[in-house]
Amino acid sequence: MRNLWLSEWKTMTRQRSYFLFLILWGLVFSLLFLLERNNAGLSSFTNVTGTIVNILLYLLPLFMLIIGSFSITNEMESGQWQLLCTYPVSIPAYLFGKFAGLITAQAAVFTLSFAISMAIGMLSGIQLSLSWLLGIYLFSLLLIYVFLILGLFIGTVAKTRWKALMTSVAIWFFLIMIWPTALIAILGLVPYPLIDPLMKLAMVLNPAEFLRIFLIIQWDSGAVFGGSYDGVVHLFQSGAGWSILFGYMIAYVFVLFSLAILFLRRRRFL
Amino acid sequence: MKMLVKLIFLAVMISLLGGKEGAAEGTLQSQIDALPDGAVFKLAAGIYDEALVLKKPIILEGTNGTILKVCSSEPALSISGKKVMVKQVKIIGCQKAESPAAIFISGKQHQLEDITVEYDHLGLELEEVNNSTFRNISVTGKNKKNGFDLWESNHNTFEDCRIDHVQDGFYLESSHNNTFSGNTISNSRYGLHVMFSDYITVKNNRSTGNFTGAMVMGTNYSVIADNQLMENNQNVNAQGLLLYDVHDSIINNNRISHNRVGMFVEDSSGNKIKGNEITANFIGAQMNRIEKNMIVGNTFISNVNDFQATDGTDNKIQRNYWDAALKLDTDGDGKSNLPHSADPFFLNLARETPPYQLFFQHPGMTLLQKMLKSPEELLVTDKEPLMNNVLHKQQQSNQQKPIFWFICAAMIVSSLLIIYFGRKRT
Repeated sequence: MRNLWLSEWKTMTRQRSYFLFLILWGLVFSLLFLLERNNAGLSSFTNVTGTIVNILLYLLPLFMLIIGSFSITNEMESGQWQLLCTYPVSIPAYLFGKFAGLITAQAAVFTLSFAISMAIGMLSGIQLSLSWLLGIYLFSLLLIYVFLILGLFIGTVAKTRWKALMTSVAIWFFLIMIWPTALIAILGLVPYPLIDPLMKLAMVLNPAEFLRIFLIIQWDSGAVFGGSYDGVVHLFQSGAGWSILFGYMIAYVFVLFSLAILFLRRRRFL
Repeated sequence: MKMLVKLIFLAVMISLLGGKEGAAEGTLQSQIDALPDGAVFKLAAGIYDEALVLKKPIILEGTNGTILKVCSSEPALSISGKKVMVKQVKIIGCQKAESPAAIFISGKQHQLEDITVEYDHLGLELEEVNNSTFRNISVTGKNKKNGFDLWESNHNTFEDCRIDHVQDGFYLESSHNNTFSGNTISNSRYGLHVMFSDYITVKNNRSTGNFTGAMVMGTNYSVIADNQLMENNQNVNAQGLLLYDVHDSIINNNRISHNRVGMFVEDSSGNKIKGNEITANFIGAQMNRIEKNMIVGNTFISNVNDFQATDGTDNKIQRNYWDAALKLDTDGDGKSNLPHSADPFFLNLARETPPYQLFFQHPGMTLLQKMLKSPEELLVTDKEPLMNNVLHKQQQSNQQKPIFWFICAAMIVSSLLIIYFGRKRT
């Protein structure tokens, strides 16, 4: 597992395209922090925060899904997977090693560009609130974590890189872009009293939603969701909030990787 | 008859010779009655079960632990006349207490300080009280009756009072020229409830967790400034500040946040609503049938819907800061060239199905918004929205800067190390 982690991390950092991310994140965050100039120092949830969160939700999940799914389908296509199958490597070790390598490399490049943008923001005289920045940073890291896992899962299902790309984009479009529209359309068909519990269920099923809502509530702005979510807001703001997030992340990786391991095990003997 | 004389004699003897406790309780009122005007009557620590009546200008001074626990049908304290002063007394109700109020006050120029009232019924009842001062009074109830109840009482001052779990924190009816400052009202129905009272000053108060932070009805020439009206969201109709039939008043620099409706204004005219910070409410401000009001220089941040208005005429809505506005300033005057309209589309969606409010500022919402655009006539427009939030005070101190740079450097160094070791050939 350690070797897989090292190899994944090393191949990632040695690709030239890896540094494209540095430029991309650096540019995006520098521009976004410039936006924050108007309500400088404000650490709560504002429209600018909403915009930043939304841009993160557009970009990060899509890239992470593609990177995650490609890293497996690539090896399937190039025959490296078949080669690995002859080695005494267990499938869970393969999956976790790959995941560890990917998240190390991605988190590193993200951290670097985020820190550079922070420094640029500070140097250009924008008063940024530290808790606000760290909130956004944590949110991004969690998004990377969640969508890399989902990407790896897609990689175990998709046969080729092309299919992996299509699936990634489709899932991204469904979970991020069309989510409210789709839910409103679907929930219009169920009896009215069921809408509330189903919305809460949907919130748990979509990790992007879960993280977004968790972040907004931690920013002390849970009231924007209105009375029907008072219970959720209280729960997340209580001491149990962070352990719920932790538990959710563990459960998430457990469920998706169990499925991924099942799929990989079937493919090993094909 | 003889028997009665004997009994009285016995009682007098007992009270004179021994039975200290009985004596103190039995004669508290008579001792007070015997005092000359302006005298100080000190009540030592202890629990007294006697309803007191203060009719002349004296000073009743308790100490830490002076408790009046009255189980009668009379108020624990009845104050009338003028220049009565009461200090440091705690009044607690007993279960059998039937009196409608813990303290009943009439007359003028009284002064009440450091008083704690824990009573199921009304806290302080003021009837035709003038020029009196109430400072540092704490009232805790059971959400049944009001904390302070004013009737035809003018020119009074209420400072630093704390009111919790009552019906209305302060209820005023036909009481003019009263001043409220530095009070805190929480977990009640209405924090401040003004009815048909003019020239009211409400400053620096804090009203949280009530159904309505401040309900002001039927007032002219009042000032409501620097208050914090927050988290009044327990009821579907909860508001931060409600103004109904309010005219020629000034509503300045209040902080109204996390309410269902931040500011609700109806049938009001000639008011100046300036410099208020309206944040994170479901509806920032809702105004119906208003005339000739000035709504200038307010800040609207992160409200689900910033502003709604119907049937307004001749109002001046200008130079507010709208967090949600698209801003463009081509001539550098600090005002945006693009007028801003608050679109109630999301509000309508969430009003029909409250659970959909979870989609507030969802990345996919922009898509839906384009599809469900509201008609022009439903929009309220600020023709010159401000570019910058002028109300916001810089919160970050320079002390944070070293930590900031340290974190920044730590992030850069650690990520560079990871990348460096990743690229290093072994």
